[in-house]
Amino acid sequence: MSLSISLHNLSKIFHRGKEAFKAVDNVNLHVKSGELVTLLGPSGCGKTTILRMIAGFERPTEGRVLIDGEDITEMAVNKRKIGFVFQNYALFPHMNIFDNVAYGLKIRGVSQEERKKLVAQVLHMVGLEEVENRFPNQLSGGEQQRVALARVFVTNPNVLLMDEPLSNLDAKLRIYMRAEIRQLQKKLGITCIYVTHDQKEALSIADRIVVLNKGKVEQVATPFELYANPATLFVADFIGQANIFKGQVKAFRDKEMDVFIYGHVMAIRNNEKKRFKEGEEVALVVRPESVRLGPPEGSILKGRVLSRVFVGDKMEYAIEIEPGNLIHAFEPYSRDIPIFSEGDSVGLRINPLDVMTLPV
Amino acid sequence: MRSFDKSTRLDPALVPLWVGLWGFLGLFVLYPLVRLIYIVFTTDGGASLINLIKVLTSWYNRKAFFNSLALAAAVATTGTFIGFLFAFAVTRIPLPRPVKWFLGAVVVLPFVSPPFTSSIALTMVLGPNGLLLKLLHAPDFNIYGFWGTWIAETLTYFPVAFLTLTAVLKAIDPNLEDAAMSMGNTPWGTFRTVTLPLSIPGLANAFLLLFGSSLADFATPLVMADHTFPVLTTQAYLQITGMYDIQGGATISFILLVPALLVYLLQHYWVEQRSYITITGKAGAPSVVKGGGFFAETLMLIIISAITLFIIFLYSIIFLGSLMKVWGVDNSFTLENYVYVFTVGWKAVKDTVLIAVISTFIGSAIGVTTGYLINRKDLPWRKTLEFTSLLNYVLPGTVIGIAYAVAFNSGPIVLTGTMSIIVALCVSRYDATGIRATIASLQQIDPSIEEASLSLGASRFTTFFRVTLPLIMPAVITGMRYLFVVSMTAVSATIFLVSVRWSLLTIRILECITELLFAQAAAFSVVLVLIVFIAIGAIAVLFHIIYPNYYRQLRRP
Repeated sequence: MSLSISLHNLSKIFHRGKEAFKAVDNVNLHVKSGELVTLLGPSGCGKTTILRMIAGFERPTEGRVLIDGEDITEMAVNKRKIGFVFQNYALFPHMNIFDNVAYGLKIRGVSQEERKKLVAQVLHMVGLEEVENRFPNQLSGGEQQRVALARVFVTNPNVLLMDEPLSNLDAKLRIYMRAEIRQLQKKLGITCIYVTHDQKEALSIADRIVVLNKGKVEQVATPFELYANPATLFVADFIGQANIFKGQVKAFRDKEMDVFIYGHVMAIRNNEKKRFKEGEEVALVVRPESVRLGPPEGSILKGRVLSRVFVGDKMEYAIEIEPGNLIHAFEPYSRDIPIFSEGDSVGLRINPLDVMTLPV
Repeated sequence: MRSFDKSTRLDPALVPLWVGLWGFLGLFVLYPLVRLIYIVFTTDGGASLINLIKVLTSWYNRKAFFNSLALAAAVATTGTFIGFLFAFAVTRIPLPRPVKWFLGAVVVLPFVSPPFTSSIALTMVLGPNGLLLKLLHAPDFNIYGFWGTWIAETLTYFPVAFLTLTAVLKAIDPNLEDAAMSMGNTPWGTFRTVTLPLSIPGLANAFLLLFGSSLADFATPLVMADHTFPVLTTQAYLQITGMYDIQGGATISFILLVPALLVYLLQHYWVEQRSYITITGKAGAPSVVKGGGFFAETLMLIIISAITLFIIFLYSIIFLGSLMKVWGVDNSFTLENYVYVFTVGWKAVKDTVLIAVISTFIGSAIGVTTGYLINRKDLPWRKTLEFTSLLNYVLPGTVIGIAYAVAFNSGPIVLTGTMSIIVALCVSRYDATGIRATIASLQQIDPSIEEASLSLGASRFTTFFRVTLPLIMPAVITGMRYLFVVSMTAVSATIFLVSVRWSLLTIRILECITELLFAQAAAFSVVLVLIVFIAIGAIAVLFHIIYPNYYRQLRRP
């Protein structure tokens, strides 16, 4: 059985001596049954605090936490039936794997036979065999991660909370495990909130992403929407990479507006959600992969290659358009695409459709 | 005080523990001290400074005050120096493993011995009829007074400096020394410019610890310092037992309290905050540690060997002395002294062990509870709780002993002459190590491990017994061991509380010394050390039976 999670005006203030620090600032969120939502943001944005308040490890300063409509703000941690996966797994170092996984069952008074059966089942489900008698320190990081998942799944929790569960694994295993976690979550249909600071992880695993900054929600959207139509400059800059320019609105047309930038006027599509005024400053956001390089002849926007870094699948260029002003451009690696050297003059081409306009 | 919003309110499950603990501390820490201060500052029921003036105007008391400080400074200096030599040898000079182990073992001896041990041995060697004096044909030499007390206390307390400084030297990243060497510095230069400056906070800490220990020491000056060299602790005792002047004794002990508290505050709030050593997670790989150069190393090893041999010599003397008829007079072999211990002294043996066992169990339970509560962030008055729970440990035993005698001899709670008063004193005074070890151990445990248990449905109570307690077990064991050892060897405070009904081994040893029965005193000491060793072994075995694979499980791969 899977249940929805609602946060109403959730806030948390921490006191350090005389200083008060607002870690979470009036957050509202509704996570549908069976949905996987990630909380994404830089460190200190309050994402873990939100998760810990849902679990009951922290008490909200204000606001309420509801599970399936029931207010659990005042409920003790051990009565909430919430599965929590910790960043460091928090396996009990003094118990073997069987005892670790069976812990929650034992607390619930499940009989020994039943425990044996359920533990074997769940270990099989997470892909672990014959580890019952080993101790956590005898397992690899990936195996410990699976035990942590098994320990949570075996108690059949109402919702699943995961706090950066993959951050202690190496890059390859991380990608593998996030697919596994997503698969298990879908199979069990369990509602899940997943905290991460890794945007790729968030984009690849989530139904919806909540971007947080300084305790506040910046945007809630599907991964695609978030990347294609960021609501704020913070989101644009935090998700993927972005070139951000300041320009001035010159004139409006039907679906386009003229923006004055670097001494040129460019026609750019309108922001669907926000109408700008004439003469207003706007931020233009261009993803590096939307910038194409070519010979300088005939280009409006020209620059000089300041540096280039080859990262395997693409070449990352930094182009100086005028002193102190850089544009980043990613060119996919292909034999058809010319490679420029440092110091080369290049022309830049940007499809106006790929330019997003945001309030400054 | 800051107000508690609902997000930081105390877990209701902890309230009864918190209240109970404060009840205990109120009764056995705060109440005696209040009673002590009360009788110091009143005469005939009215507030006055007459007691204080009376004590301070006596030249003999003033002399005792300055003697105490001078002795403490001398002991702290020599003890820190010797402790540093030993610590440096163990951590920086590439000695064979068995030699390091042996040095560590010798240094531990004074910890598990009754406080008179080095005094008895020194007296047997350098006192009247002393062994060395006879060999050196210097019969008129007088060990009693400043010199004897100084030597005996240095031998007793330098291990404290050794342990502190070993930890400090171990925590210095060897890469720092390697860096200095790679930039062309000599081993001695590296020692002078890197190792020594980095150890300075540790040295200051050790110095203050030893200063405090010497200031509070009662047993050694009682035996070694004669009337020409009075110190405050013995003066307070003699005032009470010799002159039946409890008010005067209490006042002298109050004067002792002032420098003792100052030293503690200095050590705790100044030196400890100033340590350069911070655990940063990734220290450099342990390189082949370098000493201070060939000449310095050789000199160090000579001094260390001499001191080690001297300690071994003194302890052999105790053992041999316990097997002789009359030390220095009739050196024939006998087991009479041990017969004496197990007949005449049997009651003391039995009482001491019983009191130590009860204190160990009650004390470790209270110690773990206290440490657990202090470590909880949501608890009001945590700092006050920590300070109060360590107060009896920090203050000199003489002060606590007199405060107990004053507090529980009259008034609403009379406990004089009972076993409970001795147990209460041992528990409230010696659970400190357990508290500190528990706090340190809990700080090592990631809170998420407890949170995992809670989120899996276990109550706070279950979580404590299933998860927390097993993980901090080594700290509990450390606390138990300390409690047992010091409950067996305590004297400075308990001497004011013993009665006909409850006698203690240390007190019997003291009686033997005052009656010049050194052979019997030595036999008592040997028996006491043996009991302590057996108990430490038993605790270790018990631990291994309960947790057979404890360290294997927790070791990081």
